[in-house]
Amino acid sequence: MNKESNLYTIIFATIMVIIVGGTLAYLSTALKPAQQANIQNEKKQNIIQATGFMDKDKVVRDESAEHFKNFVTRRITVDFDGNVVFDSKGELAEGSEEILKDNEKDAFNVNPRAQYRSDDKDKLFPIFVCENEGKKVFVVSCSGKGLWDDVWGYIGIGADGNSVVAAKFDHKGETAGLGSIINEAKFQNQFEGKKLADANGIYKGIQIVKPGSQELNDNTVDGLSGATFTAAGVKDMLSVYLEVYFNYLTKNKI
Amino acid sequence: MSEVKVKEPLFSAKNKKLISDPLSDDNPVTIQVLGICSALAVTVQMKGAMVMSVAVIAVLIIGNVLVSLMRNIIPPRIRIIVQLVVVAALVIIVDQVLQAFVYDASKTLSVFVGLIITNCIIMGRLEAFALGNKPWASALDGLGNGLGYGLILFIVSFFKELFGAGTLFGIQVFGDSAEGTGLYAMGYENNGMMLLPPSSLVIVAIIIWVQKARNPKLQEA
Repeated sequence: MNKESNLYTIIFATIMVIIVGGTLAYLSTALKPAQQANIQNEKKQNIIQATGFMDKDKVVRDESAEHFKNFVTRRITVDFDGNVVFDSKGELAEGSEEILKDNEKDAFNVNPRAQYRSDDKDKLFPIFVCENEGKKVFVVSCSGKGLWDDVWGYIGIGADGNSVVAAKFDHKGETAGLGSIINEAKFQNQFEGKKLADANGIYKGIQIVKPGSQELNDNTVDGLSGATFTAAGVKDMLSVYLEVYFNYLTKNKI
Repeated sequence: MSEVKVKEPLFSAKNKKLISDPLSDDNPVTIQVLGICSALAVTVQMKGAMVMSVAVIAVLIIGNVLVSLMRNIIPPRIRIIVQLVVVAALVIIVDQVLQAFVYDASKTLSVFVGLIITNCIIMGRLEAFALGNKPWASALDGLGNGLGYGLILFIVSFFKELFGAGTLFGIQVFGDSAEGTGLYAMGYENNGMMLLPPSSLVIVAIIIWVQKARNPKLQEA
């Protein structure tokens, strides 16, 4: 057959597209369950890492589902004004910690990354109540935009609703070696012991400042040189989310 | 014995040249000027550069072999599209499999994997070599060019990470900058410019300079 002919070209292209498209579609469907399980376990891993109960490096992804079951005692979802829209305590039978797959308001199913576009007032704010050896930590989730793509984080807030116990940040595509440092200990550990409010109990949030530019206090942490926009993204994300959590946690006794 | 004479040995002098040439006289980055973009962007850390090199080598070899196998049936008028489809499909398959079975690796790789599709070395070698050569020669050409690319990434990231962050493969070599130990105690500072893409341009240019100065064959009249 003449390789230059239109017919040959069209037949070749059609067969190629069918083979490649079919292979990719099959692969995507076949691998989806395994990929989803990885993503869910990672979420649990991040939540446990933000509790400060365990050394961050010791929380292995494959064991996180077990830890999640042991530590997370209650899941609450609130809206922008602090009204409870989901509470696992009311929805679930006593002692059951099952995640409601179909309930999109279940705190575990709320994905702050997915609601980036919605107005702040329409966002949902998930809270995970974690308990271990009499210590209570509220792990809250937040998300924003870095320089290239999404950044997100899980913050562990102490029982007073004010002090930060631990923080875990991650990103989708920040520059390796610059913005990507937000998921490393040297950035994350700065948050431990910081406060959401000033000495008078008025909400201040946590500011990320130019590194070395000023004396750090309870409400500030050092940013990253060479990654100004990533740090700014993390700062904006914290300012949107933390105030809602602070107001809810300090006003309600959980 | 007669068979051996007819068939070219697997590592004949010609085939060895396919691997060794791209490492020196015909380096894809410094001489062919292909794949410069990723040599500038993913060389901040040696670890990332290594991972990127390995991924490019794999895609380049497999892509070269596949295109070489199909070289007699590909319609000439849509050959670029066919090459693109082969590369893109390979990269997506690699990415999906990593996400399902080696999730941690996929997270570090996700940024780089996408970049492979646009790496000009791959399209360049498919078009320039695999379309006109047998699969084995194409595989060697892929390996050679991948290694030549990796070599440059290695050198560039070595200097960038060393002077930009004071580390090599994440291990501190000049002491702890935050604590001010080692060299930092004497007032040494990391150079932030080294972490940014422009410094790679300078390093790649110096490599080209050194290479051309030492090899008169490469100098333009």
